[in-house]
Amino acid sequence: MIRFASRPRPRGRWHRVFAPSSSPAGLAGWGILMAVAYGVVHALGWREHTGFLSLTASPGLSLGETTPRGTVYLLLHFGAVLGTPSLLLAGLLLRIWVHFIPTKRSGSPVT
Amino acid sequence: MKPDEFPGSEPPNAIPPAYTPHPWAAVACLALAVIGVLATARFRYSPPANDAPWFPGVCPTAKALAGHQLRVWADPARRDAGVTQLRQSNPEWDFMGRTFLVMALGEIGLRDPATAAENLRTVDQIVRSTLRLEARDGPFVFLMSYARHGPYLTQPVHSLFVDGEITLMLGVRARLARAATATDPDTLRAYRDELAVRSTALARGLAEAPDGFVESYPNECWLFDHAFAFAALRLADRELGTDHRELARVWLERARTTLREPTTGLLHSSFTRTGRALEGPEGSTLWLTAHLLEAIDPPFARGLYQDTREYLARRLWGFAWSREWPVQLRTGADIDSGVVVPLVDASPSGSGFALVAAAGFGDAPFLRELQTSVGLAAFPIRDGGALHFAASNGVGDAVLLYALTVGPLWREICESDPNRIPQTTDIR
Repeated sequence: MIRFASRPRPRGRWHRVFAPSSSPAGLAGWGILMAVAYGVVHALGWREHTGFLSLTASPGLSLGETTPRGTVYLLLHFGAVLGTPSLLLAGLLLRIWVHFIPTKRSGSPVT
Repeated sequence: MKPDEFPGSEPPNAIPPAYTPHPWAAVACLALAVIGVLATARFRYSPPANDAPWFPGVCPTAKALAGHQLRVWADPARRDAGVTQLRQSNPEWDFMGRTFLVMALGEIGLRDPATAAENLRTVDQIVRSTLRLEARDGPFVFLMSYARHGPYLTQPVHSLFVDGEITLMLGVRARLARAATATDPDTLRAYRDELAVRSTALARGLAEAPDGFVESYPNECWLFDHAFAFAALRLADRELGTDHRELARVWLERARTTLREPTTGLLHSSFTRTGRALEGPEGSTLWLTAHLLEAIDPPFARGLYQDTREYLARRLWGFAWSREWPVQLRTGADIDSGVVVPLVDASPSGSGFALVAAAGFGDAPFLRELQTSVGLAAFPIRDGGALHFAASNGVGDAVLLYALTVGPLWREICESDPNRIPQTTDIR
């Protein structure tokens, strides 16, 4: 009983939610996910919808229909061209961190 | 509490698990990575070294943009679709797209004389189509609907927006016809006669305006349109041997005193016929105005360019863009500004016209940074040898094309040495 009670306190919710993502593999996974999502909307031809930035509707659509698709494309584009390399690089840096700066076991297993 | 502070708290045969570092380590690595990616992103999006108007010939991006525009004008179905798309948002854009394409084709024709005859055919097609529409529906065909909501103070109705740009188109056509050696003398004479009629009427309208300002919309005058009108008159002077310099000088003197915005010293964008300000300084007006005013007063134009750059240009890590309004005079987005991108306050139209001004004034570093932003955020679409930008539209593409070709024709209008390609300068 005593040993059970003295187990390390579990980390908070924030840690439980984000710890898996903050591993090297987790960061790279998010980066790849962003790239895949961007690839999907690009393959769907949503690049044309970014004309909403110049208040120009895509052929056959109203500006109100163009804007949400263009916004999604815009966000995923920047996610892929800036976010993906950042996440992959961050994953690499973290890997190096773990390798060269051994940390005490934090209680969060790699997922 | 950490597990290894409690020896014996784990079963003796447990496999030591791999552990992640603390999330703050991930945050630190991510911050470092973001800074690294942002700081080096320019290398992925910067244009080729020769993609600028100060190199002889026509640069690769301009060739590709012109290829797309010429394809559109050669195909009636595509042209109608493009025009409909533009007019659905703003009839002005259809008209301005024509003007900038004509100006760019004029520049290309003078840069590469082998293209002059083909470009002249397209320019003539655009001019005829424009005049046909204007003859059928009057200037309202190229104006937003509110032009019909109130009476013009000056009768009969004329819009300086329409008159100025049509005169400029006619001037470019006449100049290009001289460059295209196969143009027969009768055609050339007809082009010049048409230019003479228009430029005379334009000059008369400006000279007779009670306070020097001419309406584009009912009791609404635009700095942009006056600058276009005087550039058109200077081109007409070159082609016809007329001289409107005094008219331009008087107008500019009045404009610089009446239209000065007190906080920034920049010029108001729109105003009533008596010069009462309606809208303050805007990027979508000032950049192009600075460029066009070089035709009538180069030192003043350069000063306006530098002031506009000081208040509206934003530069970061090899990228640049334009705000629509100075920080001190921020207002809401409108049809002229386009969607202002939050956080960075980037105005698509302001940034587009900043390209023209940077190219015209030979501001190489700023132009390059603006082009880098275009590479990142304008979403190029290549189709064979043709190029257009998804985030832009017909007028935006034509403006960029003009920015990348401005040179010999513009130098002629400014009465500089026509053989001189704009040189880069170090504007800080």
